[in-house]
Amino acid sequence: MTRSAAEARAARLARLYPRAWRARFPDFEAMLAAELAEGGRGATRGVLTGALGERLRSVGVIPAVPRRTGLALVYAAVLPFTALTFGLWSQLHTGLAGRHGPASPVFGFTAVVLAVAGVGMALLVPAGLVLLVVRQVRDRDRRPLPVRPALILAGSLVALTLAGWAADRSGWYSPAAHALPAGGAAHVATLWVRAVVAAITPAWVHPSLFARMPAGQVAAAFIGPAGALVAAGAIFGLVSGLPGVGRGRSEFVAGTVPVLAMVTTVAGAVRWAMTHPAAPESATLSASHTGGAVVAVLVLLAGTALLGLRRVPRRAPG
Amino acid sequence: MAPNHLADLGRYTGPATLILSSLAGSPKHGYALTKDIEEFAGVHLVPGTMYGALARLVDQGLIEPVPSDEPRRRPYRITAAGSEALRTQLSEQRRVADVGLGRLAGGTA
Repeated sequence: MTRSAAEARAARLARLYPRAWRARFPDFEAMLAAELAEGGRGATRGVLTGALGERLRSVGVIPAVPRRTGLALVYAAVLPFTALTFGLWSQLHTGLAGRHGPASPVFGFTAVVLAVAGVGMALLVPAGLVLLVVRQVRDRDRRPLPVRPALILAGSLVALTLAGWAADRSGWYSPAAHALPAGGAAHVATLWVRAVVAAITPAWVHPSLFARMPAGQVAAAFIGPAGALVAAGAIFGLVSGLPGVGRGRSEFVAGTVPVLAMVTTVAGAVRWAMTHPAAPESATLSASHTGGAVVAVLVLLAGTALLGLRRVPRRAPG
Repeated sequence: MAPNHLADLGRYTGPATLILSSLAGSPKHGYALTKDIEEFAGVHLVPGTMYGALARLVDQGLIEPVPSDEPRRRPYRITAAGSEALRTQLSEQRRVADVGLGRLAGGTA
């Protein structure tokens, strides 16, 4: 490649990086041009992956210095999984109990385990942030705080609350929320469940069904999945940006507990779906109806968490 | 044992160790770093990897830019935290190397 062609290509590739990043490293473009002129292999691929990473870092999707990404993947899956599990448990408790007997004790047990994991996460995340601030002040650490993921998480939870509230006010009956708290502070969690579960509807296959839904339920069906996805991404950013406290065995335990709860829940859900494959009128856990989609999403989320757990170190480094 | 900040850098741990080892000698800009690392380690870092690692090291406070008269060339120097992180990382690598070499010498797999 000629020198001028290399410079032109380097200028194009460098523009893939955020403007602020290019200002920090003014000699990058010249280095890249020299590399391309010499025919350096892997230079373009390195720039493409590097630029993507810097773009994601610049908007706060991934923390400036990622840590414990495995554990972050586990906890990113916890929120939507917990919401769907509670929705499923509620449906079993109310919608199916009269037709197919009482809800499986497996769901009761795993719902409690996941509630503990959820509450634990709700307490650990702010505690970790406080710890991070204390450590950074004490050590004069210049690493950036994961403030943006925290703000994005708060925003997404507000969106989920509003979506659930809109569905709740619409009057659309939701067996997924029927057995859950209808008042008090815990009602907020019920609204999150409504918002997330509203996303799983046969209306995606038969769009004419949307016309029969009230506006609040339709809004929840659209906002729910987006809010859950953004919340999961924010939790990933938050957990992966937490300080290096409790690394090693305790981190592995922190990842194993929710994964075990997820696997137990999936086993119970699949067993129930196999036991009652035809419940079209309730459309809850039939493998060919909405319930099948719920179980499929649960399997997907548990698989994601298992992948994350594989990346969590079992022992402290060194 | 001191926390290993370099181990937190994932795929950038290796390049960051090389960069800190180079800067432990003297401050350098990107091109000089590339050449020095090629010389002492036989490893060629492409610009995307080199500057990705530099960005993370600066963010962690392990290196810092040195004021320069040349706007297009920005040298970096290692900080006290960077020296400590490099010492921890190299000690761990030495420990692993000692174990491996010891087992090879002993004839065990």
